[in-house]
Amino acid sequence: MCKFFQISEIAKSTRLFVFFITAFMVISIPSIAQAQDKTFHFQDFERLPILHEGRVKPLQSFAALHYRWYQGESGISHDDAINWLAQTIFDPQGASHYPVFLVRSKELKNSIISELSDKGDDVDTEPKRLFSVSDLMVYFSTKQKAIEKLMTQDEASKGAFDHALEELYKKYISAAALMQSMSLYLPLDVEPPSDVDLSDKSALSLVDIHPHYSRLKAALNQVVKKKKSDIERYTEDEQKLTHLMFAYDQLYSRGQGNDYFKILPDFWGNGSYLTLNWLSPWQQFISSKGHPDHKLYLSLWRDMATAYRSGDVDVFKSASQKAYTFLMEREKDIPVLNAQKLDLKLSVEVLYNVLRPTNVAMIFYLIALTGALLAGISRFGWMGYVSTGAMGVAISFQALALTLRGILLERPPVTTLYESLLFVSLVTALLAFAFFVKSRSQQHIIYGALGAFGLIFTSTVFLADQDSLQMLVAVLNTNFWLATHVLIITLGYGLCVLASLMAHGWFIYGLSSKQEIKEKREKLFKQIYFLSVIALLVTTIGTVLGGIWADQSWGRFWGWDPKENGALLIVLWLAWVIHGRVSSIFSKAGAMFWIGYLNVIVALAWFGVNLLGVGLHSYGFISGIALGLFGFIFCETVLLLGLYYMSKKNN
Amino acid sequence: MQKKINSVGKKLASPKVIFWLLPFLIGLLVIGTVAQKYVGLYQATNEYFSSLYFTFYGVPLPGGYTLISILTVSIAAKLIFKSQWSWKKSGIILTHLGVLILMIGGLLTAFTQSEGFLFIPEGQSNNKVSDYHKRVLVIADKKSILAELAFTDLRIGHSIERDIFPFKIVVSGICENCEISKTTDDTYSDEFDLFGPAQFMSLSPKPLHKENERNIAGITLDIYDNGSADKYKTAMFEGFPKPVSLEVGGAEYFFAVIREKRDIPFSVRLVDFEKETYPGTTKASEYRSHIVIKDDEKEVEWPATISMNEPLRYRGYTLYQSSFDQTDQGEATVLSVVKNEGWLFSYFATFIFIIGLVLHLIIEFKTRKLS
Repeated sequence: MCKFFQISEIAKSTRLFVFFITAFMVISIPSIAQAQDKTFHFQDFERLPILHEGRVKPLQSFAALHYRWYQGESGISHDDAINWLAQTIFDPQGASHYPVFLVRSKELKNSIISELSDKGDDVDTEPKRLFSVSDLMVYFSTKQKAIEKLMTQDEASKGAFDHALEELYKKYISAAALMQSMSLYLPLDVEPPSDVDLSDKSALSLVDIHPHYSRLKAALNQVVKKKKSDIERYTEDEQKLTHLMFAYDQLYSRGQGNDYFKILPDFWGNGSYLTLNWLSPWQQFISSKGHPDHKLYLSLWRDMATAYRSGDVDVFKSASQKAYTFLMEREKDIPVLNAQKLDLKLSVEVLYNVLRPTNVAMIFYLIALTGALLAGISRFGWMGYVSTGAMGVAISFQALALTLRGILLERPPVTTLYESLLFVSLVTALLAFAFFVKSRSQQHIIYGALGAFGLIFTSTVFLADQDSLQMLVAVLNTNFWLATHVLIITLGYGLCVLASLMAHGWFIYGLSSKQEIKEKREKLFKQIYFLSVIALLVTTIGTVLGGIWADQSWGRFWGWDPKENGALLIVLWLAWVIHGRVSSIFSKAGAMFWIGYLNVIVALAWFGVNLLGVGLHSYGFISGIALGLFGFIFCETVLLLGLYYMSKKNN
Repeated sequence: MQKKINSVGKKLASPKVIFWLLPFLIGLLVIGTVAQKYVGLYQATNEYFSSLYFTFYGVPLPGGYTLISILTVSIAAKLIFKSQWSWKKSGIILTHLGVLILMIGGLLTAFTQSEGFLFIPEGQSNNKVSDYHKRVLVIADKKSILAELAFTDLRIGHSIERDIFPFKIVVSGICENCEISKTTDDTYSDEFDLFGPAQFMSLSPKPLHKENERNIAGITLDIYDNGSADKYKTAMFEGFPKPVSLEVGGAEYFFAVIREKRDIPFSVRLVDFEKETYPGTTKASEYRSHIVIKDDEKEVEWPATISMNEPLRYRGYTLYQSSFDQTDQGEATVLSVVKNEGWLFSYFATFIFIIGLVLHLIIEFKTRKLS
């Protein structure tokens, strides 16, 4: 499912499989780092840019994405992630033992553990046990045929184990690719022959040997010609030469195709660094497209590597600081209007990562919800102030989150399921807060906080295995239609969610026989009905605007695509309830029941259609949420039926 | 009579009609959408949305055409017989009028819309639109097309005889999606002389692909020479590189299964196709076709660019960027061509509809404020 490692197609070839299976051997060629117990300061390092999945982002985001993907969890620590990345690229041999892969499939996990125990390795069976690259290397070395078969197998014929195995394999090869990303600059675990004149023999890397390669190769050829492959007859220096050339050839042949770690902007290019192509160190080395600035920038990266490996915290900090400043200075020289955005984007993204505004908002929604519930009890009346304040803070943080996302992607933040959930939750909270401001009733804080919290919480499901800040497919790449159709339709979703939650509240009020509550209930009914009419208006406008977008893009207004049908479903549902009420077929309770059920309709239209996996709106396809969706439908149905029954009984 | 019309009209205009109709529409929407997972969009649309009725587990239910027609009639009846023509109700009237126009436009579109595609390699022109779905059997000689038979009209045993060719054709096999297998000695009867692909392959039906465009239609034909006792057999399928040829009575005849082609009144030449990607990826951020439209009838020729979300509309046709291909000769663009007589209805309806809803909301809001 992960979209940020696209190597699966290439990996279908056996050649590449062998490449990655032997990756560990190559990883072990750079020597192991000396000091790894130091606490490094990554503030500048994590801001350094990298081009990944078509977007320039800070290393911090890149690290977090991979770390989340490997662990299959959204709640990871950014510090752990950047630590892991630094070790992976600067000390691959050490990092190969770093436990980072969480395997959720029990069957696959047992299979790995059994393989490891057969090889006499660690057999820790803890439920949260993480596996390292070296563990997986052992495992995958025995699964070559299974993987080869899997890569050419039809998706429909794959079982749960196959999917888990394939996914883990993708993670493994991405980690292996990362480990080799800087290998050409890392000191090799070989000693040069004493008769070879190399400037710094203590920390020889592939790039140091490269200028002497032809000479050394010729010398080795002479040796081989003279003494054949009988290594016993080689002198000590000849053996060292053989090892040196072997290490070089291995690293070179495995690393030359490595384009995963694109940290070098195209200094030759004419335009903003945000739109130009970037190169990985290996690409730059192989393509010979080097610009003098590449040399300078890479030397700072090399300083970082050396400092990291020797545990020199201060030099690492200084080198990463210099690297960042160097790049920003170069960007200032670009003679293109608005080119100097890199610094802003990187700073905004780091701020977004560090602040985690949606998490903060979630906490404050929870506080607001608790406060508003407690405020209903007379001696906790003061909690109303807490809930109101918390709601204000939560809304502000969420608005900040969406604003920052808008700045980063330069488009309305409503293009993925994750973003639409964030947007709808903000709409729900804002509308509820507007009702609260008008009515001064804490019940609206409850609806808003509950809805917003639930939606943000649901959004975390979509964070684990993909970048939430994605580039758009070509047909969606239009700010006009995103700002009109998508914003309006998601606004409609927000209105529906709030109306539905308020309908639940209407039934809860129905459990009381107090006159004061009855009056409140009557008022609430009017608000819900009014909200439903507005929801119908907004969702209908959103849907027809979608039709016009379709006509503009595909030459037809309506094509019965599942996503279009989903939007129409909400419109028809609302029209049905309103006509039922207008024609007096529905009693108040009947209308409220079906408005309450609107949550289910919205969920089906929003997520359910994506489960079908068909249609033109292929940007939103998801898997694995079916159970959650059906669970929600079941719970909502039971809850509403229960409320309806009890409220009816009470009245 | 007038009274009766009024009475029927008022009954049709009742919100109860809409109320009872909507669950059917909702049900149709759900069934038709879920069905797409199993039969694809094209088949589901035909079966559920573009139909008068369908059966669901043996129960006949009204299809899209029926429900939308009732909805249209009911809304029209409401406007004619039940609307209170007052400022207070203007929002509601306009909203319903918008829906009515949308429905009429939708029905018009459903019956008149045609869709196909133009495949144009760089530097070449095309004015023949290939249909996405309709396949035809084409019989031609060296000079012209002698017969073009819609695949949907052909059945096993179907006999084709014309004065313009000296043979009779009998369909001995037909498949909307064909399994192509190697022939063995027992595949065909010895009484026929095999020619074309039948010499080495045979066709048999296999389950339809969900995307109709991916189905490979094919046909097996028995040909009886009118002037002799010679019998021939051939098989062919769409996408076969060249037409199958047979010499009968000294003349050469050609047979092929192709997508139905329609002429458009202008030609499109592809000057250049561009694909922009996000940096460092193969993910497209934009597709663009630089074309030249040549209209001989109007004696005009002009350049244009078609890109994502920026289609070209000309003489009632909408041309939009649909796909592209990399051929041996270079890049080629695939432009979808849609002719939709009812396209303006949706814009007009949307405009009225939005005005109506906003007006209704404002009036409602003011009324509530006053009360």
